[in-house]
Amino acid sequence: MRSIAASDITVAVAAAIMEMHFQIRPDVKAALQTALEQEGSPLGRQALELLLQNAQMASAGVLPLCQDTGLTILFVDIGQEVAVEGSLEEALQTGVRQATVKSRLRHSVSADPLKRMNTGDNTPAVIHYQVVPGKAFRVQIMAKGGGCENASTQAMLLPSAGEAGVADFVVNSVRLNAATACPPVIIGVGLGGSFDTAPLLAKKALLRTIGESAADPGLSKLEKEILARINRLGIGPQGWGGSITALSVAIEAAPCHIASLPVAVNVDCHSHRVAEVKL
Amino acid sequence: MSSVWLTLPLDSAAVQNLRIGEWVNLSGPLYTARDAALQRIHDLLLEGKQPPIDLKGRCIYFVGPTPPAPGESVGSAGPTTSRRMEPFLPLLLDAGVSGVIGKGPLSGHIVAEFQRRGVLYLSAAGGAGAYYGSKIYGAAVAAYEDLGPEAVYSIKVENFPAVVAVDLKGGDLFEEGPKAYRKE
Repeated sequence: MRSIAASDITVAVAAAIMEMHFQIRPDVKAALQTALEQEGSPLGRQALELLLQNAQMASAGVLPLCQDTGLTILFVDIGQEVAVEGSLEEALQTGVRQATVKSRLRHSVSADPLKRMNTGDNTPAVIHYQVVPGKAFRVQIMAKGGGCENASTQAMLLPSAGEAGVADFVVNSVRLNAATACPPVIIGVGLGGSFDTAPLLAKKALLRTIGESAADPGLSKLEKEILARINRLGIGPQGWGGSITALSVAIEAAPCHIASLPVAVNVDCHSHRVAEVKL
Repeated sequence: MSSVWLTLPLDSAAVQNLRIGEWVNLSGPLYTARDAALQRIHDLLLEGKQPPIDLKGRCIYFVGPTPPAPGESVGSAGPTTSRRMEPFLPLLLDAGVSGVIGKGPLSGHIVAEFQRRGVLYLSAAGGAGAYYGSKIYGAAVAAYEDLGPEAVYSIKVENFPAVVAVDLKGGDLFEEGPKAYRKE
């Protein structure tokens, strides 16, 4: 067995969160710069220039990229030969809490969906655990803004809908919802699985580096087709009109029931705060 | 980019000439408010009671900022989604709000209401929290301190850029802007 101290997990998670709210990811910055070159609308280009200027200002480490520092989502891969000394759950939540205080993140979590009291420290983070073979330990971290999360959708399509049905559903979701989600957006699509896992696949798809295609050639082709269609919608940066509405489309697929074709669309904004910790 | 300089509170003559897609540079006092505070204000107005702030002629910025760094009055402070505030908007307009700043489109019936009453809707750039935080000065809680980031703050902005999203001539940027680029 390999042993990892809970306190080491807390320190690493807190450090990654504190970094990701101030330093724009290199892949996102490159995608925004490419978008600036390709955008046909003057207003769209001005919006993109403002976002790049914003990223430059945030990099000083005082003001987060976005005031919506989000609901923290953690994907934990833990090797079955790893033993955590202490509470893994508490270690992760403490990391979120510490980063919130040290980096002056906004308190963006309601304790109850109807009573709406603020928890005051951004916990609880949403945590997905997966046991993997070996001695690896990895946490993928996402700070998910409310505006783009609200633009996400899900449907149980008929198997006969096929690729065309999936593409239509995704493009139509973006048409209806992207303007409220801080475009240019990043689109994660979950295909297959069950009613509960399709959205999880969509969220995992958002963890992929921007511009990296699915390993499956069919899915890779579908990603490109959907992205091209989305960028023909005209929504543009901020919804002000333009040729760049999305920076990327990533699809993750899984086996599903013979009667079902679950599809989920998880939208992320251009701030795209995603980080990874390996111990 | 060329901009129209606007001083707050809004002068109705200056607003008349604005057109969708134009940049404005705002300077002057604003109130911040979002979901939780607007729900409370809305509920008071519904009961015919006075809200804790006087909304007549004032502009509201839909935002929930991050906590300020030491010596500062506000942290990151970009706009939040305006559409979520629609249930509260008719009564806010009744109370005399003259303009709102947020991000993203408003529904057609709300846009029509803005135009009928001569209320301006400005779209700030969503996700530019650090940038907009640096344009805000003298933030102080004006109401509902218990709501934390969702409290109402009285703020002053200086050279705060936003785009005219709904003008008084019937224009709606979120409808008109995409048309030239729509190919699907």
